[in-house]
Amino acid sequence: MLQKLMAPLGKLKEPLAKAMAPLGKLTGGNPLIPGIVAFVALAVIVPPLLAGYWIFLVTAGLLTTITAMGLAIIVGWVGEVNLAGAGLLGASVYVTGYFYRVGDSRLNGWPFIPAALTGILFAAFLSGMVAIPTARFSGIYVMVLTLGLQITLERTLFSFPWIIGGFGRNVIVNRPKFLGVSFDSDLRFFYLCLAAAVAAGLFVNALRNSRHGRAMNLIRTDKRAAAAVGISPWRYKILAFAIGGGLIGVAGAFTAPLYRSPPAIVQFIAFQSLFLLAIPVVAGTRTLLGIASVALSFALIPQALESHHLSPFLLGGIGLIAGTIVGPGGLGGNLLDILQKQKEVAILSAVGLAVDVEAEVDLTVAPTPARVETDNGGGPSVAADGDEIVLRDRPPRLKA
Amino acid sequence: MVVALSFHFDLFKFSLVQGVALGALYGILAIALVLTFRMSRVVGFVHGGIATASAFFYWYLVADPTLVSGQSVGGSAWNTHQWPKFPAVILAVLLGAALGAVFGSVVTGRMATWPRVTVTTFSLGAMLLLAGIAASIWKSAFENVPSPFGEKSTHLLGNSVRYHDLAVVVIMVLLVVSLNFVLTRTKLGTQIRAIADDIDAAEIVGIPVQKISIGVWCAAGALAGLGGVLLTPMTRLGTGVILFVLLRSTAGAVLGGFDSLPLALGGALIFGQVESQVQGGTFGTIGSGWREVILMTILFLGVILLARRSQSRFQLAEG
Repeated sequence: MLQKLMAPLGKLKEPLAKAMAPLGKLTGGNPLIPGIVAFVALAVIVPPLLAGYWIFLVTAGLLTTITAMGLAIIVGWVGEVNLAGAGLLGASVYVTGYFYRVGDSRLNGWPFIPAALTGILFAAFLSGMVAIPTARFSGIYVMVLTLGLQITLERTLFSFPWIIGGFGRNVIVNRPKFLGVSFDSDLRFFYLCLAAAVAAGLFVNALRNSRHGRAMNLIRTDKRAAAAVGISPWRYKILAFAIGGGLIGVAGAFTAPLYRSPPAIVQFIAFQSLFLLAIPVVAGTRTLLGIASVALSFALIPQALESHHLSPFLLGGIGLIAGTIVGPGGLGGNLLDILQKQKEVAILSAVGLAVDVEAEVDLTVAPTPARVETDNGGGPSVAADGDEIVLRDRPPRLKA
Repeated sequence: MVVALSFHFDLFKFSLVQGVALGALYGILAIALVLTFRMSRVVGFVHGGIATASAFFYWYLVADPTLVSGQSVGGSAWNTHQWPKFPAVILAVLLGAALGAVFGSVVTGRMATWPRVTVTTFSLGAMLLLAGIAASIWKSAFENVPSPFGEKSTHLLGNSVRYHDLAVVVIMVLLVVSLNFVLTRTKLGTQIRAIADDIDAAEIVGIPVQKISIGVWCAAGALAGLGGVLLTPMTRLGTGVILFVLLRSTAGAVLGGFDSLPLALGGALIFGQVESQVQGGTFGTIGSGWREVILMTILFLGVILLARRSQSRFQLAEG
């Protein structure tokens, strides 16, 4: 039955690849270029086109992107499922708000940066702590205990009015000010959050390419191999949870002043954790741009669903189901494969090899190696026996 | 958070009965979780969604429309039907069974060889989808649900106890006895245990693994549906409540290593007792936050002490 359900998804790959072909040609298959284009579009083109409310929503989407990057480290790199994403986000929001806000509150008026650091460290600490007893066990226990952490946060931290600052109190959480520059307006705060999202993306990218990032990825792929080369799965799992929690904490710290008042607890309940989890599951973790696109969509689509009286949980549920069916690469991974193939085609064309683009963009597994025709100096194409491209579900490689 | 420790025997007696009912309720869902885990090595979070769907369906069939607070929202979904309760319970349980069978056919079919954590994530997605459907139809519902056993009470150990609570305990006892009988005294039970112990060997000796697995998922779905129907008269009807209870049941199953039905039931009863005693004030005034911390500590300790025992089984499941 599932096979039947999945059949349309498989059929989508070919038209998707064809649709992506012009983009691939335009960018030379370089995944950085769409990222830069997306950044410029967000920073320059989008704000003047959008009304204030939508700027606010896109800002929320950028913060969801940072949250999703944190979850992606845990879900995608070390292969564990964290069901406390919303709880950690809320913990950072409320702890940051507690120290930063002004008004009817016990401790207030800290500068934004120390308050935010406290929130971030608190989220990282909680996330790391829950990993300590579970990192040696199977992923199933991690799921249960992170769900336990989520429920505990809901029933403890989120139920203290003096921390969350809610329940009708007159509490103001101002937008921050840095070096005399106020980020009070929605547009300025949008740019601040965009900078934070870009910084988080650069950090995650650098971490992924570092020794530690590779170690985390190896743990997911093969724990025994990792242990054999001296990588401690236990330590790296805890590290991944702490870093992931920290990134979620960053999102929380910027979410605290987003609404100018403490946000409602309902945004940080257990179902919201599943909704957030769906983002890296759908997007995959190979491309940060994919995560950002899905996160922005997940922040904006519920607004459209709202007018049709549809719960955002529907989107989360469909996302989780689709994400698991598409596979660990997610939608982003599949698109990246297509772009990578386009890059290979561009390189082959540049060195004088004419490649059948139809065949190149076909992602299905070819039963036999396909031969590549070389351009014979403008004359009729002839098949060169020595030049073969083996088509796999990975980018093609030239055989000597 | 407030803590003022003391011991009150009268409250202990009252909470004991309440705790057994609560633990029995957690136990019903824990049984469903353990059964399906033994079949497919998947934590059946989907049971939370099934319980939600069945509970909403039951409420839709039996609730008095004049007492439905969401009527102001409008729409035919709030026009409940006031049906007789027992046929509604049967229909809600059948809905749970059907949903369980559908999910079981998916996870024991094409997904049979997929990594178990992936399939468990799929199970989370299915739960969220079912909860999302319920939340879309009945937005922000937080309704009172009539019990199938009425609203009357009786006296037990000098305390007033609802028939509903007693019925939950009786149902759980009947379930345990009948499941124990099926699993230990029948050919089907032998086949189920064979699949749980070694799925490849079971297949080699000709046991129809997929059919039986789907059957177990179907039965577990029915249990989850029953759990949802029995839960909501004790709390209220809302999507968030069921996930909260599912965690308790899952914790019970964890304490049983996701392997043993008696241990899972024991774990669920411990959770029910601790929650009831702390909430009932047996040990003095303890805030709800501390109650959660205590339960979470038990869960963590349970994982650390008991999970090692089952680790090889889980590693096998994830291989």
